[in-house]
Amino acid sequence: MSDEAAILQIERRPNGLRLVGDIDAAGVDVLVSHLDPLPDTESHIIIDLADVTFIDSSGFRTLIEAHQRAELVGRRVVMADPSPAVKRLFDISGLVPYLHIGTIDS
Amino acid sequence: MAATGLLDDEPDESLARLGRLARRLTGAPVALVSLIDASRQYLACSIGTTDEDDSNAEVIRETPLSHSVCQYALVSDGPLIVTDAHTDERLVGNHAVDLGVVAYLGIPLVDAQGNVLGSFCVIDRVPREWTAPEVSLMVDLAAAVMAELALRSVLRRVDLDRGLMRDLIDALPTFVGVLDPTGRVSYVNGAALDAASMTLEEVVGRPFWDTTWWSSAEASRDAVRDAVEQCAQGMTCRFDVEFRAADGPSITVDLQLAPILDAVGDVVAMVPSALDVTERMRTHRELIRLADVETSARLRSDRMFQLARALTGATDVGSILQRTSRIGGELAGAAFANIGIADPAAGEIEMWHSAGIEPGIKGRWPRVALDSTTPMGTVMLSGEPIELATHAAMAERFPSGADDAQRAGFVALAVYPIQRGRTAMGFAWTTPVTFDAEMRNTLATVVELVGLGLQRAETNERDRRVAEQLQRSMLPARLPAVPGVSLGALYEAGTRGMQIGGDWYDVAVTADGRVLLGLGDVVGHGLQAASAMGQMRTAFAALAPTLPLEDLVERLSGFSVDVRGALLSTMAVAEFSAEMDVMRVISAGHVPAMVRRADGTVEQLPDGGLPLGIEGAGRREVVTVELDSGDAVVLYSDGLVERRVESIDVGLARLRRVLQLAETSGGQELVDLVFDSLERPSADDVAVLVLRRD
Repeated sequence: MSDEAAILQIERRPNGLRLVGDIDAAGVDVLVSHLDPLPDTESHIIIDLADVTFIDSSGFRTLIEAHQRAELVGRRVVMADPSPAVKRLFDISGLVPYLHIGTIDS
Repeated sequence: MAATGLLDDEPDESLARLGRLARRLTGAPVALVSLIDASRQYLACSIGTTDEDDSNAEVIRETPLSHSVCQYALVSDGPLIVTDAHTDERLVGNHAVDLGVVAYLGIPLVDAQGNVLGSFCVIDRVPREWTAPEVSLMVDLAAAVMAELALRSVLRRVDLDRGLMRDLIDALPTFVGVLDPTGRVSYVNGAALDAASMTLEEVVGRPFWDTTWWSSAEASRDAVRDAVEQCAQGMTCRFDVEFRAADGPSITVDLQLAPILDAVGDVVAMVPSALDVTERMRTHRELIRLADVETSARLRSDRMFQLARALTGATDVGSILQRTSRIGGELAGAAFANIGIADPAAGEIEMWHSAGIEPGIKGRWPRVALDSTTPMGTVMLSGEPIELATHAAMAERFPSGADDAQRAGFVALAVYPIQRGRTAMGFAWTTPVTFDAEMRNTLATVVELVGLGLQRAETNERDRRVAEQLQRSMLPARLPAVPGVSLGALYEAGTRGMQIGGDWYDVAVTADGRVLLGLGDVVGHGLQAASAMGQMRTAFAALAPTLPLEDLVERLSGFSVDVRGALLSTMAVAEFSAEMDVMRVISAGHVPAMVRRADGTVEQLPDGGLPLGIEGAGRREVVTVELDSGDAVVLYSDGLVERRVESIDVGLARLRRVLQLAETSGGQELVDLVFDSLERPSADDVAVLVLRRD
């Protein structure tokens, strides 16, 4: 199959999450359940996107909602190190000026 | 809670299946769906709750809340994870530990309205650390439990008047009756009478326990009499008992006696109902046998988790097989897997073969006979698995097919029933196999997972068809005729499972002759997305003729906040004015529109602004392009260009190339040509809308 989905895998990190695979409709429920209980000690929550291969519209919605919830309580979600292909998806979705897109180190 | 009907109903096979899976995959001895009302906890499925004797599973049906751990899962937002109840301060004073609840992993069951109905949990009798994959798995399975409960409450809403009730009871294939408060028969349905070859007159007025149904053993009679006495006190009783049919051997039935109470709580009638569970008891024994050989450490392997996760996302037979065959095949070492679906009318089985084998083999068995000459047919008819470890064993049992199979490279095979008479799954190996306890357990688990997936696929397919009809009915039946331009449009539903999206388009014409195009993509799939796209399209059609383009986008963005499921959807709108010779385009997070010039050059418009429903980053930019005779603007949804395995720029370049070559004079021809020239994307739905200036 030329477009077989890469199932989303989620690793918990001290300051956020590392995601691997596709953030799509099949994976967002699990992602939401991991986003809710994130540590509240850090002011920045890092979502490591380096090994994310694809994000669909439900994936974007989940990331935007995480961003919005964090902003409400004065925290910041950083979408870290997206691959060039995933970065292009952010460009086209018009979200680059809205979300915090950065690197793990920054 | 009451709407699900589970407080009264018998344990449900789908829930039991999910419970078994949770136990198998975590290795925990107990899995529960707990549903809680004001004062008690109801266990919808409770496999292996009792200690030693698993044949008494599903015995504990209700417990007082003081013994419930699940009540804590209800108030915690996410998963409730207890490593050791002895030391967990949340559980101080709770009696669950007395029942052997030591380690606990529970996921709240929340309906669409946000009500917490209960929890889905696994329990261990010794302390344990629950792993992240186990938590993820339980979250997935809890979502499946919720889907089952939602389906039930829909079915229950069907309201019946009393006249229909009698007909309904008589139409039921199972035993149902009504007793007076002293336990004498007032009425029984046709199924009950047929079973005993009696008429209604012969049984009405007799004590229920003193009827031929319970006459095969003294013990049955006594058990029924005790139950009637308890029921007369207002208790619901339920137990398995020997039932004597007029002809043939006695069978085991699951008999329930439920009281009907009046407003002050007095018993005015009792309702006995019975189900033949001979088959269930057999399946149950089989499962216990499989459970005995479980090697839970191996079961917790990553591969098994991956398989469970993969199947959660699979929504039709094709994708279930695609995902199963690779991981499931690796787990069992099989080279090939297939799923058979019975077509009893044709006396055949429709076969779904896995990928990864030479194409010739796939075509060899598109359908096989539904009889005992084929392994798949034999298993479907008997409901018993077949395991043939060598070519010799295959040749002895199925002389006609064994050589065929060997030529295809297969020298061992196993076929397991998924649902007797309906579905089965086969595995084939290129080397001889030993069917030891571990292998059997692996195969049984894979088959159990596939069974669950198929069940979901059936529900999804129904939902998908309704959504597709709904969606088509909400798109414009035809585009308006506008002098000076040629319009064209196309909508193609997604081809895979629930991938009905929320693509919409419409065209509006203003009083002063401007033409407005709108094309959007609502997030999500299924009925909710279809409904949201309908509302967005209606709002576009209503607002477009009266507002400047910029204001239109702002208003739709505001509107999307209030439409369930429309928030953060994307949209492109374009306005053409012949007087000004220009097209003005705004993109809200949408894939970039294309302009094809009369000479074949193609311009891709810049990336757009924020999706609908997000404000605060300034207005979305308007792009103005001149549009001369023969030029066309193309709006489309991401399904036309997006492929998961490549950057979206590759897909956009492909579209530009196709447009360059698309030499046509009409808008609709251009749409059709573009769609036909692009390799059909496999999953997402596609919408295309074109305006070409004459």
